[in-house]
Amino acid sequence: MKHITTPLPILDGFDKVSGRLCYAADMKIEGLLQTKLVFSTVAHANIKNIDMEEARAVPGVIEIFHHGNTPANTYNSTIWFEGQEGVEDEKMFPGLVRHVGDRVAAVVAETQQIANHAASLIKVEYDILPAIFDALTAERFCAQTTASGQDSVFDKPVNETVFDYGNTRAALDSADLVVEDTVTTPKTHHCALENHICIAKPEADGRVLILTPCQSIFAVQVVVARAIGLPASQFRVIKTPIGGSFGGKAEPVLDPLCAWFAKTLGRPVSIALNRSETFTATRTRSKAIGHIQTAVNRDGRILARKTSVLVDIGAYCTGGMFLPESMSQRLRRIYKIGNQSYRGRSFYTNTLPTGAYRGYGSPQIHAISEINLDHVAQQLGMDPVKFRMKNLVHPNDTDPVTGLDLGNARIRDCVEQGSAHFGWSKKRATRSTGGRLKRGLGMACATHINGCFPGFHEATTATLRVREDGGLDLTCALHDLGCGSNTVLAQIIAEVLDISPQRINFSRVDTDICDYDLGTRASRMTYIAGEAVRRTAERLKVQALLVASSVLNCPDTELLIKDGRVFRCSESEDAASLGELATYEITRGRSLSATETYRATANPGSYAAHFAEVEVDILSGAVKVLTYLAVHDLGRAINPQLVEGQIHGGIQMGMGFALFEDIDINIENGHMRGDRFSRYHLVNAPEMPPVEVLLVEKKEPTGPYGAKAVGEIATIPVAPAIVNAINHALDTNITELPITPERIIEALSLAHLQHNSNEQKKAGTQ
Amino acid sequence: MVQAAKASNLQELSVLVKGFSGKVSFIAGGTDLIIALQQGARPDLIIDISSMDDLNFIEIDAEEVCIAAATPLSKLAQHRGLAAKLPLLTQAAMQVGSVQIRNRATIGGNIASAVPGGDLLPALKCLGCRIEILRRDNTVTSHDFDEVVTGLGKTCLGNGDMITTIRIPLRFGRNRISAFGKIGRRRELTIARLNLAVLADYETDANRINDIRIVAGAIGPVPLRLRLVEKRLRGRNVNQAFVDDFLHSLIAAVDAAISGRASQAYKRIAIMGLGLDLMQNLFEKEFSCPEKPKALT
Repeated sequence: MKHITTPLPILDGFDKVSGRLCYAADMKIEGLLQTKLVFSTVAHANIKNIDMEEARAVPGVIEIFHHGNTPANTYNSTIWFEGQEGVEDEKMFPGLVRHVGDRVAAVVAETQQIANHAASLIKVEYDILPAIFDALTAERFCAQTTASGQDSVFDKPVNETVFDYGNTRAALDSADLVVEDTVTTPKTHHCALENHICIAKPEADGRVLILTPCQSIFAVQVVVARAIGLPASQFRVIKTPIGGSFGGKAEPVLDPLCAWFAKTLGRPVSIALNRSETFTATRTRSKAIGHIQTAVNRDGRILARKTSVLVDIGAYCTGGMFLPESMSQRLRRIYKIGNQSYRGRSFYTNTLPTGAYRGYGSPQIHAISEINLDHVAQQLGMDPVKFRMKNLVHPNDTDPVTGLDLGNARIRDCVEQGSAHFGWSKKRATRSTGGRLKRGLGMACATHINGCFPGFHEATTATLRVREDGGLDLTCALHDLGCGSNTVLAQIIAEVLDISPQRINFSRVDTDICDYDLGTRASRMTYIAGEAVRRTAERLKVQALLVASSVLNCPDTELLIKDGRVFRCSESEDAASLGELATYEITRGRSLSATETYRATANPGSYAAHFAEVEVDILSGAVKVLTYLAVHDLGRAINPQLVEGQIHGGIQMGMGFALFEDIDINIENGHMRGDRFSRYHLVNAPEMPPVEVLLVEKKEPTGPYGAKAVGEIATIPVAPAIVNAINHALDTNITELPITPERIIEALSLAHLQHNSNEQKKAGTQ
Repeated sequence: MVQAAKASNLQELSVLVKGFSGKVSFIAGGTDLIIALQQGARPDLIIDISSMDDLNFIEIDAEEVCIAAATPLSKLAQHRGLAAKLPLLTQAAMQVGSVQIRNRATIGGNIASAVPGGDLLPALKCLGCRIEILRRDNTVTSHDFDEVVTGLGKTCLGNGDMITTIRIPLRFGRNRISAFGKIGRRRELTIARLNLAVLADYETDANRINDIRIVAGAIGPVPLRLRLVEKRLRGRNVNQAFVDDFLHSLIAAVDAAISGRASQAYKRIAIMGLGLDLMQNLFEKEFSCPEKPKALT
């Protein structure tokens, strides 16, 4: 192993830190118009009137767009291929706004300042409608309206996913112990460094070019086409360097508008949101309320589990139709449970639409199930690690519903090695109980997928070509979101062809150049795209050796590639460089290149076990995470340095999910309180604990060089591990996230009151 | 159209202000003003006062500490003389925002913004500072803290008026001790949800508090002097009973200040944590956490 399993800094890292990399906001485009959007200030209303007179009169205003002069096609911004079905309920500018932050109008002007000023002069009159801000109310509303036969968009759940295998009811009835919890997770925001932005530009050939930081150029193309009502071929999409996404830029929010403005005005147009607008008018993680019952026998075997989840998807469906299904899978891929039922439903509310966010439902469902499991262990009087070990899956177990193989699932190794390394048993036994600062230990397990198989034509096509200088050109729609996926892919190609990763040139991610690809989603980059480029490189290698054999007049079996040059096995002097072979091929009217389409055949699980020690101040309610250990089964780390980076970042996000982050919708009026960093608190450097990472590298046979995904799973077990540690420290069962100091003080006060009333009862009976 | 001008000394500044009839804003660090501008604030003239030597200094004599208004907080936090004479102010300055914010933000700006959680404010009030204001008509007026900071984001500053100097008397008993603490959402780079400044005259040998001043921030629009708490503590010996009494009277103070507010249930407990930290800080002794039952009744 020369180029993989070695740390390599991100290939474009220097360009990023030196400011040489040109993001969308840095692009200098002649005559570029700027946009200011006008957003709804009410949660649900018909727009009665938009008074634009004053705004129009401002010199430099080019046009004001609104529901009266834009296409009224409905679309779903989450679709990613032509012909994909989805609940189509979005419009560029709806006449009926459904949430605070919904789009009412847009002022396009010569400068941003003019646009801002004109937008501030627009007056909107609303006919206010009743609004719903939480899933529980939505559920009640749906029950009522279904009975009374009313018909509005909010009438029924967007999606209901159920599974039921074994005999859950009977097992729950007959079990030694059934432990029940209701766990609530918050709506959290991606907080990528780069705010949402899009640039669209009319091209000489009549098409519109869209420059956008995105996760899939083809998804942008198809959504824009649907919204505008023209064929996708009318739009060319190029991905710009992206300043972070985490799912926030998976759906084209601004692109349909921007393309339409450019097309109508015949001039290039930019829409750039500021931070608060990115908070209030793009996407968020869905809020889940999970009710879960787990039945066990006395020796700690899980007999049955019943889970019901309400998912608050906000005002538009987007990916809300997939979330209950996505959550359901996770419940079947980590513990061996003989009887299990699940019901997941997505409900509309008059709040910001939800979308993809690192884990796609996994952080929510794992918070629900892993917090409950610690509660079960506590009720059993059993150590949570021991309890989990009795129930975790083994390698090559199968999903009881789909029958899919879980692959080389090494969660048991993660828990065993992790608990030993962390000194779990010893620390757990010696926790301090007295005084103001309480310490506790918690852990949680997690699983996540590797790609979209068996659904949605999970495939990637890549083309590799040898340049005359011996470097390689890779053509593939690869959306590196800043995490370094391109670096990892370059290492894989480099390993096959023994060439420096720096000599691989990545093509522009452009719908005119690349073959179709799903984009960066579902933890598929290393596992799927990695295998695709590995196979492409292998094919190219075969081809290069064939060419070499004809040039050198020697059987290809006697040749090998080293340092980008072809050698005869028997000689130390090289016979030909890859560049010479490419040149030779060109003179013969051919190209030294290979194209390969890799179609996935499996979807193994990635696994992780995280361990945390916390200290809780019972007066201020402040939680300090003292130490943290993350153990990951990722098959094999192609780039251990980037893996570690992903895990550290995942812990930072997961800690926020557990302790701080919440967009905090005001249930009186639907306004978002956490729409800025002074009110939306991220975990910053001083809050981070020392983090240790342990990798279980037992190789997944279907992954490139045995690799599996780590990007999303890195954040999934974090919140339950920390919540479990807090509950251990305080002897509480707090299940509402984030666990803010207020919630800790409230839980302690309640526990205290309960304790007192119990004492009084005791005293009374004596 | 917003005009911009730069003043290099107070004389130039008063000429600029006097000759201008529109709305004037001053920019030193800009940590608040730039955000206000982005949110649509539109002064007619912005005067840059960030490089005025006569607005950026700390002077200490036997009687008082004199701090110019555009002195950055990092200078306050790092100033050795200040740390020796007014550790309370040093501690408060060290806890404002982050290093980057402290490098830009100034003491005058912190007062003029008058935000409820402003960390310097309880410390300044506790220290009994006098604030000098250069009025638009070129006169200089001098005020107590309470005359200047009058409400949430409200001050006595008229258009074109500017805080120039903060004077803090050094005389307070024979053996002054002090402590400042805050509770925010995070440990660092956080807006205070509670902050507390304590200044005491403590007779070490007799273990007695001769005099004490306590000011709490973020439980009202302006920093609140807790006179009832002070009264209970004056003349007492320092022991666990004293600390318990202090903590319980803090709860009473919070209950009185924000009765019925959503944050009351939390802040009345959290202030005990803050109070306990401060007591340990002040007397360099461990005190135990009060019994829960009393705190909850």
